[in-house]
Amino acid sequence: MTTPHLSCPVAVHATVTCRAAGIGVLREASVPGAPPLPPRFLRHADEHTVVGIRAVQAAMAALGQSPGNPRSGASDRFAVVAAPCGAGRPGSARTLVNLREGGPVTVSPHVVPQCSLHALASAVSVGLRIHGPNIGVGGGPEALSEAFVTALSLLDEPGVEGCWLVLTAWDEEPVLDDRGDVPGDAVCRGVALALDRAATGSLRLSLRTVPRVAVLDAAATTSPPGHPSLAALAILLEQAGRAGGPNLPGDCDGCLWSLRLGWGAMVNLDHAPAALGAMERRRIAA
Amino acid sequence: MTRAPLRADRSAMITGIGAVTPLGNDFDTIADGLLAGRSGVVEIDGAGFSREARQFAAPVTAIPAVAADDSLDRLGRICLAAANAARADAGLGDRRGGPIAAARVGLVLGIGAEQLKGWEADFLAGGRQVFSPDRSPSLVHRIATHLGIDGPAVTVAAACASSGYALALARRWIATGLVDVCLAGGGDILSPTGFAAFYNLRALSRRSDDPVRASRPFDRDRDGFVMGEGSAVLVLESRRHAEGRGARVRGELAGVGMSGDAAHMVIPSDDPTEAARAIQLALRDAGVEPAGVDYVNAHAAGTPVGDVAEAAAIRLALGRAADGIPVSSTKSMSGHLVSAAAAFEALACLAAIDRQTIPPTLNLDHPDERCRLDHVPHVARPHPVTVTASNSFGFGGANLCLVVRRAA
Repeated sequence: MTTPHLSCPVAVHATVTCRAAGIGVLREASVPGAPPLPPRFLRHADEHTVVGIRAVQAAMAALGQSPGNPRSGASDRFAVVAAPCGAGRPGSARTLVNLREGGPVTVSPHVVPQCSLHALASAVSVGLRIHGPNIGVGGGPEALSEAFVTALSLLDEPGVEGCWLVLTAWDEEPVLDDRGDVPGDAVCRGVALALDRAATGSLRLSLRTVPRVAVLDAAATTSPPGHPSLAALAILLEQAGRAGGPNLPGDCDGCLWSLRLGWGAMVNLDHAPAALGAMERRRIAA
Repeated sequence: MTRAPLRADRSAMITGIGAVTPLGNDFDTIADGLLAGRSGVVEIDGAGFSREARQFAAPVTAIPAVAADDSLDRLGRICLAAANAARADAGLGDRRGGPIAAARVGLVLGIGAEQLKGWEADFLAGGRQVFSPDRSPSLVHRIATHLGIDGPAVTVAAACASSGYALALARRWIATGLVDVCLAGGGDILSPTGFAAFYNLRALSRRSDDPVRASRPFDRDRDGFVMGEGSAVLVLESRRHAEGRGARVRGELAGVGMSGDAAHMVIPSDDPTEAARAIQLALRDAGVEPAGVDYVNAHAAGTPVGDVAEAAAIRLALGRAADGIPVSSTKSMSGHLVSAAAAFEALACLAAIDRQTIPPTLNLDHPDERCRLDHVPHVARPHPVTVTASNSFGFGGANLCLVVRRAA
C-alpha cells in the first residue's frame, strides 16, 4: 500500500547524449527551434552544464516555443532544479593542478560559478532567462533521488508555476588524466523534464511514500536503494519521443519507470491518465 | 495536477537551533556576540590563499566533537556538530530510542561545493581522489545515518543562498506531510581554492590594516566581503507536532520567497525587480504587510555592486515602509558564511526576536548614499521585534527571503 503525495504532468522531455570528445562542438552548437544562449555563454561551462542546458533547449524546441511565451506551457516563472551527478570534477582537477603548480594567482575565478553544485541550475536560469528559483541538488551518487523529491516539492512554492528538472551523469564516471581531462569516449547524458501544472502531457511524474512501519521493518535506512541509472531513464525517454507519446511499454498500471528511494518512497514515471485511456482504447481497437 | 491536499496547518515552527560559527557554538553565545558588536574576523595563516601579505577571515575556532565523526572531514564535522546540537536543542533523541524515532524526520543541507572541498583537501594532502570516480555517499546522507534520521535527505545549492533554500524545502516537506520534523541548514569551510577564486574574482576585501574593520557592508569605503566558515542548522516542525510533544518553540519560519535574476552567473542584476519579488513573495506567504516588518537582516556582504542592488530591492519591496524598518548586516561581524550564511542569518533574526534588539552593522562609518535605509550602525538598537525578514542572494541570480516570526 502506498500513499500518494506529489504528482505532476510532464509537459515535455528531451535527452542529450554526448561523448567527451564532442563536448567542444556541443558547447558552440545551436539547437534549432530553441531560444538561443548568449554568445559564448558555455565557454567556461562544465561538461554537465553543456549537456544539461542543451537538453533543456531541446525540450523547449520540442515544445515549439520559447520561455516567456504564455502559450508555451513552460513559462519564465518555472523553477530550475538541476542534479548533475559528480559535476565539476574535471574543472576542479585542473584548478587544483594549477594551484599546486602556479599558486593562488592561477586559480580561475570561474571555478566557483562553473564547478559548484549550483552551476547547471544557474546556467539554465541565466542562459534561458528563467526567473523562478534555480537550485542545484545532490552532487553525489544519490543525486537522482534527491532531484525528484526536490522538484516535486517545490511546485507548491509561491510564484513557482512549474519546474525544469534537469539530470546529468556520465554513463560511467571517467578516470581523468593528470591534467584533469576526460577520456574522449566517456559518455555524458542529460535529461530535461518540464513539470507543468497546466500541462496535458502523456507522462506523469509522482512520488509516493510507503507506510512508516514498512520503513522500520525494512531496517534499511542506510542500505543503498536500488537506483536505476540515468542512462536507463534517458533511453526510455528517447523511446517515448520516437513513439510519439503514450505508446510505450509499461506494466498494467501504466508505470514506465520507477525509482525506489532509501527512505521509503517511490518515484514513478507513468502514463498520464488521459494518455492511458487513449492507449487502452487502442488496445481494444486492436 | 494530482496532489495530496496540503495540511491546514502550514506553520513551520523552529524548535531547535544548532551552530558552529566564528561567533560561538550555541545560541546564547552567538546572540550575545551579535548584540555586543563582536567581530569574528581575524588574521589567519593564509599562506597560499592569495598574493596579499595578510589574510583576513572569520574562522571556526572550535568544533564540538560528536561521537562517530572520525570518518568525516572538517566540513562534515562542522555540519554534524551543528545538526547534532540542533537535534539536542529541540529535545529530540536519537535512533536508540528518543522521540526522534517516533516521527518521520528529514534532513536538508545547503552545501555549495562539498565535492570540490573534499577533492581539494585530499589533493593538497597528496591524494588523487579528484582524478577517480567516487561513489561514496554525500555528506547529508552520512550525517543522516549518524543521527538516525530515516526520512528524505537532500543536498541543495544556490550559492550564498544555499542554506536558505534548505530551510525553504524543509518547510515545504512539513507542509505537504512528507515529514513531521526536518533539520535544515547548511555549512561551508574556508579553503585555498575558494579563497583564491573569490579573491581573483575581486569579490573579497583587500584591506590589510585591521581585520575587524575589513567587513563593512553598506559603507561607502567597502571593497568586498570577508570570508567566513561554519554551519547553522534549525529544527522545523508543524505547530501541531511541536505542541503535541511539548517542544519549546523558538520562532516560526512564516514565509518564503524566491526568484531568479536570470541576468549573470556572478554579478547581481542592477534591476532590483526580481530580488524585490522574492521579498514580496515571502511577505505575502507569511501574510505580512511591509509595515509589519520589524527588522531586515540584509544579505549585504560588503561588495560594491551587491549592497547597492540589495538596498534598491528592499526599497522597491517595502516602499515607504522601508524608511522606518531597521536594517543591518551581521556579515560585518560573522564574515560571509557562504553556503551557511542564510541559516546563520535566520538565527540572527531569532536573536533579535529573543532579545528585542537589532544587531548592528559594524564599520558603517559613512553609509553609501546609494544604500539609503534605516541602518543600525556600530551598536545594537533596542526595538520591538515580532516579524523579521532575512535576505540571501547568490551567484547565478539566486534570490531568497525568509520571514522569521516570533512564535504566537
